[in-house]
Amino acid sequence: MNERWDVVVIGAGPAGLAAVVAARDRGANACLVEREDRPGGILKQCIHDGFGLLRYQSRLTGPEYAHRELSQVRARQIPILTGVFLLAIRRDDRRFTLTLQCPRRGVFELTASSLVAATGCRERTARQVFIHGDRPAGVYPAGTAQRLLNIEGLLPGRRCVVLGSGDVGLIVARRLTLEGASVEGVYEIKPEPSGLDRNLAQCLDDFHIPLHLCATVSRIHGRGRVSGVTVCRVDNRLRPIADTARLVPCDTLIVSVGLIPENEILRGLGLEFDPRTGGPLVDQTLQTSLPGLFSCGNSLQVHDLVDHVSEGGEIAGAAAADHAAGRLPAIPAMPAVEVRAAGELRQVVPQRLNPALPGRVVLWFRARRTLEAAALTAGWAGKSAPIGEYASLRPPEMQRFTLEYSGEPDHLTLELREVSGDARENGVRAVPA
Amino acid sequence: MVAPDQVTIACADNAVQNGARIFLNTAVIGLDVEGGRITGVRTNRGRLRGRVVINAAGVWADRVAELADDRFYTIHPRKGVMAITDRSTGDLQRRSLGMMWIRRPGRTKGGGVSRTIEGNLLLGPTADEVPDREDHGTSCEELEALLHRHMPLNAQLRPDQIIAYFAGVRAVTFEEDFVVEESRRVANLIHVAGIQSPGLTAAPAIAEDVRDLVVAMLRREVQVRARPEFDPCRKSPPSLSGLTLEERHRLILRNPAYGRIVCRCEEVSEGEVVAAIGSPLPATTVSAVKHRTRTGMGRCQGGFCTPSVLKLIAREMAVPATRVTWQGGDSLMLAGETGE
Repeated sequence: MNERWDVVVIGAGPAGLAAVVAARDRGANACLVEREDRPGGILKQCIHDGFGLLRYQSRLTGPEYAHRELSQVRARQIPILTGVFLLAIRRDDRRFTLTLQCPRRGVFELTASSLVAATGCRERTARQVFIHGDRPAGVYPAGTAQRLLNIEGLLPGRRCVVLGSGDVGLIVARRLTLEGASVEGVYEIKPEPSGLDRNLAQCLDDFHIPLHLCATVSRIHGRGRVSGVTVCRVDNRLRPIADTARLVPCDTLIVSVGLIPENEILRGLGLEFDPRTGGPLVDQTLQTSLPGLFSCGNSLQVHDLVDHVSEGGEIAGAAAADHAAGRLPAIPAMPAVEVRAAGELRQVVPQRLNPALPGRVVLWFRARRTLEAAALTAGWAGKSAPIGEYASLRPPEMQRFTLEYSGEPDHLTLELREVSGDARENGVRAVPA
Repeated sequence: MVAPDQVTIACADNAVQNGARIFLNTAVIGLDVEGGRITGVRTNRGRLRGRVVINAAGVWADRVAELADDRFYTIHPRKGVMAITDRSTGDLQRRSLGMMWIRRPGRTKGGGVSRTIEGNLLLGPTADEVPDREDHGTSCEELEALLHRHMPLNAQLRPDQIIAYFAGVRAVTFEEDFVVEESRRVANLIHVAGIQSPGLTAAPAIAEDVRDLVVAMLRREVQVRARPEFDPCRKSPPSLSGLTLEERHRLILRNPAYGRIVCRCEEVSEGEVVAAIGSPLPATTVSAVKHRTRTGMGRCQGGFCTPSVLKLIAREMAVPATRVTWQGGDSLMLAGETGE
């Protein structure tokens, strides 16, 4: 097998699949490495529907969406190395060397001009949100419970409490109910749910599962298996209010308290990270601060729609091919052109712009808090121009927009402001998702 | 430095290799004492007989002594809470740090921040008297007390680097001393009780003392001689993390199961999990496999590997996955199958 590649894509989830196709379509000699035995990433266990509304204008299940993406890879006869675990990456002489292992070949190396990291994310654990009490069997991260249910055909528990209102937890709550388990309730420490509206409606409301806001699990009980959890309300500093504690008998606690981009394999390479997204700092080609290394999918930032993941994968894969071919202009030697988030913006990706690449730029952002009506403006060197107005914005819903970049070497400031009721009446238009 | 659980596991395996039998999930519920001797040990799984009975029951040692009507000490539980950080913090310090201000004379040397052999940092332990002898839980207050005292030892540590925290209970006598002696009332009973800090350090020496006591006790009745086939060396099964890339390569080509990574955070392979399940003292629960191989000990805390470990235990033990437990007893991992 050829060990020398233009582009190697790490991870065969939706981001990696889209990236490798885009790289190949730009003429690169590209391959995918995947540690699991089958490609598709987390989509394999997402048997619910709602995928592909933007990309395919139809409502697909996760495996169906993965199948569509995968058939693009197969049509191009792009090699997918499955069951291959990446041990280390080093960069020397402007090339990347990957040390990998697999059962058939033992330890081996690949080199690449460009690398696309599409390594996904992991779940935040109960310990990371400082849940206390006993340590019995029956405490599962939502994604683990989902895999047990949908891939292994195993039922994690019969009487469940869900901590956190993230999308995976909501979807698992419905799935457990459909399997005959009872879900006693979903407890969310914040005053607002963190899942998408459609999941709140379709997973909780439709199945009469109560959602408790400003409430959390403060203690786990049980010596063998979980026997119950103590739940309580929290004050406005998210501290438990002691006299509101009550015991909920259950045999399972499902924990859905957030996702963390997984980039540990990149840490030794010395690239810059964005503490708000947990992913690398990237420019409009999704190139990190290390030339030739690109990042996309949930390892760049946690997405809520796979359609956005695929689009990012395409951007990164195409640019990785251009870099390998020497066609991607290097960032000029000058202070970095930053994309700054202001006002009610929590995060924006990309965080940098390469002024040598004027043209259409895709950006993604999240609001800091729920806004009834908001306006987004772009400010360049003292001038500011409106970008869009939003009838309603919630932090769980990532927004995407494009703008034409002239190659302006000045910082871009994006500002999200809440718009008063008067302005709303003067014709605020909703921007499609 | 050693990993305490690995030392304990190695000793257990070595004992089994040399002919010892270990009955797990077996609780002592009574002792038959006749004529100043223990003639039987009653358990939840039947009656055991032995020439000599060694009471090394930890936090329950005084209760076991009482079953023989020989309770001359009292164990009170002293809980220690510890927190462990992500391996990426291992570069923040090379040595163990302790400070005078966290010492609590008479109760603990104070713990500190130490680096485990795997490269995580370990904070603690605390030392608090508790009423419950098996109180392995933690509370918000206990963890905050731990972090408040220990975190300042390394200014670069942050709470969000903590991946897990847990508690253990020390078996403490009111004399704050070890009890390693023959019973004065029961002819064939030896007490090994109150083994608290520095218990692990002292354990090899205590074991030699106990061996001498046992031999002396047996010689009153039977001939005792050294067994020539006794092998004090236990060869540990291969662990990928301890191998060079070249050694790893050869191992995988010899046994491809070592090429399949089960736990991505700690880089544990299927080969290691299978070896643990098939070890002299078999690791047949998810927790046992975890302690032997480190599956689930990394930053995702088992989120990704638990289903795989479950399935490997079921496969190797030829039992349904629904019978696999977290750590024995009624700690079943699953409620059943889907579609039932």
